[in-house]
Amino acid sequence: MRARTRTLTGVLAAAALAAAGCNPTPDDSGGDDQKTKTQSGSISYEAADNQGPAKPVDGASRGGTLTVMQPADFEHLDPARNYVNVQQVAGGMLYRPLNGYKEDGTGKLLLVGDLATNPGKDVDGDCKVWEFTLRDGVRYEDGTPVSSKDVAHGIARSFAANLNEGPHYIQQWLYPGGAYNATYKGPYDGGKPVPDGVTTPDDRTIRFTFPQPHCDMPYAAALPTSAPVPAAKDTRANYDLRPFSSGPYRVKSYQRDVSLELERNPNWDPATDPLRNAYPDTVRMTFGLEQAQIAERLVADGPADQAALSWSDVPPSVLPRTTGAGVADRVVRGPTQYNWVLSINTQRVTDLSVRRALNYAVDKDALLKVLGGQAAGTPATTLMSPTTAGFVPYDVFNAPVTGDKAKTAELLAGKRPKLVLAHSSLELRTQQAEALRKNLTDMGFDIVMKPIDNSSYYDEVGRKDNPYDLYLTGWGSDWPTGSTVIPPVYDGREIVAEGNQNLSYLNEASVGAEIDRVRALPAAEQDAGWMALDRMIMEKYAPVVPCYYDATYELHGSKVGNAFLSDAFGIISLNGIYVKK
Amino acid sequence: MSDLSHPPPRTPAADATISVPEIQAGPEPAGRAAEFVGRSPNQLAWLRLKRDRTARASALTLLVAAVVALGAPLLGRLTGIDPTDKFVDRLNDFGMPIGYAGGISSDHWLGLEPGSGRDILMQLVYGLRTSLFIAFTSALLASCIGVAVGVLAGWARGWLDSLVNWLIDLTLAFPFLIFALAVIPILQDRFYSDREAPSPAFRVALIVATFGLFSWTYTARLVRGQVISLREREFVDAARAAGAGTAHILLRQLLPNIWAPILVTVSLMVPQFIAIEAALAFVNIGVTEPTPDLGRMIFNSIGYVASDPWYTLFPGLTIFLLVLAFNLLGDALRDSLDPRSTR
Repeated sequence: MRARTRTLTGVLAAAALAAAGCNPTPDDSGGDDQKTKTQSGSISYEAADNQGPAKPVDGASRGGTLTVMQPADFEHLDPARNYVNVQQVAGGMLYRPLNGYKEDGTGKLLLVGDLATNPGKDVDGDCKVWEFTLRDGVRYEDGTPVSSKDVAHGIARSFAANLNEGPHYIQQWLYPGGAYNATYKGPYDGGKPVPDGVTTPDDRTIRFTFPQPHCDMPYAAALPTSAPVPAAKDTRANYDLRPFSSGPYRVKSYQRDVSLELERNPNWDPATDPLRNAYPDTVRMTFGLEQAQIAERLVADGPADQAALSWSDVPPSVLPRTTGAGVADRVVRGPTQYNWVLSINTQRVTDLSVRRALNYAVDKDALLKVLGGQAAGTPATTLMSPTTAGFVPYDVFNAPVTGDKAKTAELLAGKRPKLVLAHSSLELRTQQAEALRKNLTDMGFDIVMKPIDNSSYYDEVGRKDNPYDLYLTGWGSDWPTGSTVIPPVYDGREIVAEGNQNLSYLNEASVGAEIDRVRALPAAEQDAGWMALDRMIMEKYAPVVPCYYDATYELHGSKVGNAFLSDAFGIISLNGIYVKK
Repeated sequence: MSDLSHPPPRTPAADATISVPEIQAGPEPAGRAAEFVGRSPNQLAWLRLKRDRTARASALTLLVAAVVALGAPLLGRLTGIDPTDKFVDRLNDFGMPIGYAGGISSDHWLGLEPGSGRDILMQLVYGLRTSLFIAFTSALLASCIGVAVGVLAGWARGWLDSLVNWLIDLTLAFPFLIFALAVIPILQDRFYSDREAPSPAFRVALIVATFGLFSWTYTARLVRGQVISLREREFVDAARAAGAGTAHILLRQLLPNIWAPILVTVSLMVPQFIAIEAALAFVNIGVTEPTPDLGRMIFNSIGYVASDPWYTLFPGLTIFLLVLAFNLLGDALRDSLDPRSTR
């Protein structure tokens, strides 16, 4: 998943100059120790898991209005263009992809069929042909039944050039080699109604035939691209503003950058839905509030905000105020699938000993404390995050979290490399870069800081011939296996002129060969394969300095019930949430 | 003859009559026959200023600030702390300073910055240095340009006056922030490559030049108006009749009479520049990390007002005192240079 851009801006806090200075600040910040959950992501074909309705939540009640306060509007709600976690959770209220994640807040994550009766049938046992059967009785907001032809249309339209913002796994698998939409350009303007390899034998069956094996298809089918879009209701680019509902809610009103209001879809049948309880009557999303303002309002828990929550992290300046009684139990925190690494431009820093020295030198503690310490994450030593299936922690360098000066000096052998550190010009990112500059300067490097405007940061460092040596970058998997981390970020064969995701520009034949080997393994052995490759890359090439595993730290009001962190999306899940009476 | 005190002294006697109260109030030994002492208007102003308690207090505040700013490296050597040193081990798991009052201790007299763990005292004194230097130099530059342009426009009349007026209007209409956003990065790229960081001196010079280029208009308008009102006065006619050249009339006759408002504008410009410079730092064209800067420090600290008020307090108090001192001193200056203003 594209790196989430946290809105890291320090903003004026409206609160009064409270008596916060009267007590000493203790060394432990009062928060409970962060559980490092290791994901037990698995695909379930059990009938009990795949059958609707969703298990009722203890003490939950129907009704009420849930408010979600967000700093910015969603970029896209159109299922073909939806690729950011907050949009996926919001979109999940409106439309139903073939598969979905079943969670109950205990850390158990199951991939089950959502629109489909189960997570997909591997017809020939070779992961090349996948068949999904749609549930009976799923209806759109106007009462018409959902047909597998609509799912096919949804897939087809995601090839259109002007709807290209979403994930492109299925598209690329259907047309391997070259750009995903080089051959087929969508159903519009005289294109074929469905891409090659997608067939709908009847109204309840859809079949994908891939030229190569793709055992990850059940996960790819959980992305919003597989949600049904009826051709008659397809408004192309305008579909973003008014997706046609197949889920428990439908759009009541949507004013861009101001608010989105969802009301119940009367034709949604809970018996067809194993994932969603859909307790609130209305869900209101408001946009354009400052991050600190949201956090302050949720801390204050005023009557108007008691049934509210936010998916934006509490900024560091408000963090100490979330530990008090009445607030601490309204914090939802935990690890996300994102991992932040200091990417080393291996085209420029070709000396492996310098890259290893950097791994010994970086003070991960200082980087984290700028963002709010343990609330922002935990120090990292691997390429994949602990939420990946089959994760095994390892540490190639075994350096202390604040860096190892002796080891760094030994590896540098008297040299003093001059390195250019690019950073986003956001306030906290600048402070992070300054912390890194000071730390690396003390460790024996010459660091030049280069600020880049935040909106073009990933564009600039994603250019193959960028002039920088070091930059902090984040990456999160699209589904909890290594196949959406290692290949996109470390496969040198995918390096292009612009828009790269392999930001260390590591281009090693041995890594490419290993990626191909792991991909061809049976699904059950892949997890261990990715983990071994993760370690091999760090041991042999050290293309990045793993800095910290991202954590989320969100707040909700006192009348929000069953608010837990979704392991699949790294934010508060809406599926089982309810408003207390 | 309302302006007797303003024209430069032509006859010592005329001046002396005005100075009588000053002499009586001064520490002249009693008993001796009152002696006539010739004092220039500047000397009179100085005397009035010295007697003003507010002026003394604010001048002292500014002097202390200047000494602290200049002596920052000395303080650094004394405490053994560099402004960029980070004491991350003194922060808790949320990145907040451990201990009382934002981490105040015998090592860190004003505590530590949350997040970065830098010493607030060292950041403050070094930041004061940067901010005061930028604000002062910019105010001086802007005033010099403003006075020159204003005198020229006021004295010239005709098309030159119109042209200058038009230029002032144009400059006033020009959006400062957009100009700064467009020009500063371009100039930086012109002088520094992709892989070089601009030196702090270059950055500061750019900011000073940008401020100077945009902030002269107010002074220029003020001076132009004053010159227009003064150029028709009797003392100017007298000087002209006595055969004085234009340079003499401008520099010796007119300028001394408009010092007061100019000084006041300078004293008001300085705190204003400190604030704008902080805003520039936020859009990444001001003084950037790691150069300490008071404006940026205040901006960063505002968010912590509820969770670590001490971090907000010290830089906030510093800028409050500075701005207050500048404004009071400006007021006192105006009073002493132009005693009519208090009546």
